[in-house]
Amino acid sequence: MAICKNCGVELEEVMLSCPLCGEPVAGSGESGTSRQTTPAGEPAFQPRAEMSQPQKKFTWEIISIILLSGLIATFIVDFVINQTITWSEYPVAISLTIFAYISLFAFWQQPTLLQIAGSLALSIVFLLLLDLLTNGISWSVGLGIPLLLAANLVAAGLIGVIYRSKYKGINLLAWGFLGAAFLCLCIEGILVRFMTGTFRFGWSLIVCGSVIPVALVLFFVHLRLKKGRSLEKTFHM
Amino acid sequence: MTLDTEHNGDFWLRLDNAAKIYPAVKDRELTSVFRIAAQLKDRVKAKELLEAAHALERRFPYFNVKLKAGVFWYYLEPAGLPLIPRPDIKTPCRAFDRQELMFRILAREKTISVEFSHILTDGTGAFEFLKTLLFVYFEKCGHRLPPGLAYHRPEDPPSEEEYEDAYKKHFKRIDSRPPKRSKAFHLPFSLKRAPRFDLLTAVIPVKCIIEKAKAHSVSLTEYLTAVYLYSLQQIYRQQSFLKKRATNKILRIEVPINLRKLFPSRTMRNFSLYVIPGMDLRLGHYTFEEILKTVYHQMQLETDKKLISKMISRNVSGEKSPFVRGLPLFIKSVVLARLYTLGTKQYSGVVTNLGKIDLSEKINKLIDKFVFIPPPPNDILKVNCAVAGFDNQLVLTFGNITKSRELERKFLTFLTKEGVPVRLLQPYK
Repeated sequence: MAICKNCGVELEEVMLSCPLCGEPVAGSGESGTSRQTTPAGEPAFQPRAEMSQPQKKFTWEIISIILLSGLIATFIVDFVINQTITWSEYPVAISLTIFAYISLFAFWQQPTLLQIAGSLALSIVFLLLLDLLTNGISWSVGLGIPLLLAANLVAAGLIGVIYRSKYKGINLLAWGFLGAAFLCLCIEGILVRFMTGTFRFGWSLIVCGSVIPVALVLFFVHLRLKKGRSLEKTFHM
Repeated sequence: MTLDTEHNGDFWLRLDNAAKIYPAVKDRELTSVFRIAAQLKDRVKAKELLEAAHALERRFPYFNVKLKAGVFWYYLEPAGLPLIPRPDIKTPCRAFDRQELMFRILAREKTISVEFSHILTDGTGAFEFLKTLLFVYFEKCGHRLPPGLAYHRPEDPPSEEEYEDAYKKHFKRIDSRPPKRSKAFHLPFSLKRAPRFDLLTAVIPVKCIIEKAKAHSVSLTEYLTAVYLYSLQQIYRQQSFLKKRATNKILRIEVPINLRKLFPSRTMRNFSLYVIPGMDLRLGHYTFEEILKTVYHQMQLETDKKLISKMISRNVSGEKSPFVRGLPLFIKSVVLARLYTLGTKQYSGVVTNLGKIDLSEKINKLIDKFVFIPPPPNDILKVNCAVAGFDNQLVLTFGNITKSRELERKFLTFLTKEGVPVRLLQPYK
């Protein structure tokens, strides 16, 4: 009979490693690095269904070509009509932002939130450079970067909620509504601030007022519907 | 009616009356986790233990749960996690992670242990689980179980009675206010740095100490409580004049009582309350015999069924109060944590006795001893003691979070002076 040198328990002759701690039995040929065995009954790790690296590269190439061709065409049209760069700055800025995001998501193997943060940083650099190269720093700091930051915050928040939700259903729709309402508030606040120098909210408050009750109803329905559970356990007194 | 967690997705449990306080106070140090360990005669067989744990997976669904926070109360929701024994290589009674169950099976050399959060059950419930695990394990090892053994057979469905809140079941409204207790004396020792829970385990012959208790016509628990109080009195007296003047002069020991012996219940969840015998040092020095007499009479009086009913009524009434029920959980948690601290200030130590364990003559031969480890005490109480008797071995385990072993030294020295041989066990490391 073999004895586990870690737990001191008795192992069957056929066991190559201790089922309690994964310590390999002396002479079984298992390396120390493969100690973590999956105990009986424990679900094995299920990898997420993701694109393979060649698939990611191919997708990135297609999107990049579309963005680049659009970008060049926009620039040329604007330049031909106005003899300088004017309105085309904005579609170009959007194209550069999308490019920054897809590039990091395609080639930077990191957790999603880190990828978002990296993409945000890269986009900010692109926007600043574009703004600087056209008419000097004008719209990027006051408008482009705050809008980008708000959109990223909402996206990161929604990803976090989706990740943490044990039961994914109508609740995600409700969170999406709340995220959109918050983004509307941010957009109006940033736009008004950029144009008038003050903070004022109008249409975005109406959006929030309409969306919040809808979201609450969706949450309620979700709690009611999920796997036939009642609300009693959450609200029991 | 049986429990069917697989087909009834709506199954959930309210915390029992005693468990309600633990989520509010538990943390990485004050874990509310206790251990019962069975040291076998032979080395633990890994495969058979895995099979035994697997066989028990569906038998105790009320333990296979996770703690969830509701709006007004915490509750327990099925976790559906596999029951896998783990190597016993870490600190005993450590806290449970959010992702794991609130109990664990551990194995090491010749010892099979179970650790439970008090949120799930008390010592009796945990012991019933360990007993079942041991029986199934021995069966898997090829031993034939003697007929007529009382345990939770894996093939039997769990009954509703096993997960009832027995406090509520035996609740009868009695209009009485809780007695006001003054603050008690607490050990003056400074705390260790975290992780601070340390253990000292001593083994004494049951026959020898029972003889001592019988000579004074008291029970073993009463005798040990008296020794504890006597040791505390010595520590009080050793202090400087100024410290003695400043400190509280009431000594009290909390002794948990298994209510299943007073009120019929098969619940596997918490069903215990406490009696708190004590003495007033302002009245002068007590001899051991005087302490023993006081403890005996107070224990006899306080374990009266009517008085226990009054305690149940007080505790459950608090939970049933419309005002308390309507408070949001975060406010309740603050209040409960404060109540726990105030409660702990009323006594100086804990002696919890699992009692005499007997698993039938045939099974007893396969086991060397049982060790009962108390949950880590809080920074007011500092030291506690848990006791388990098996065969001719009484195992005392002191849980201590201070830098001093003075209480344990005084306690065990008293026993040796009385002629009771004391053997210390290798500490859990």
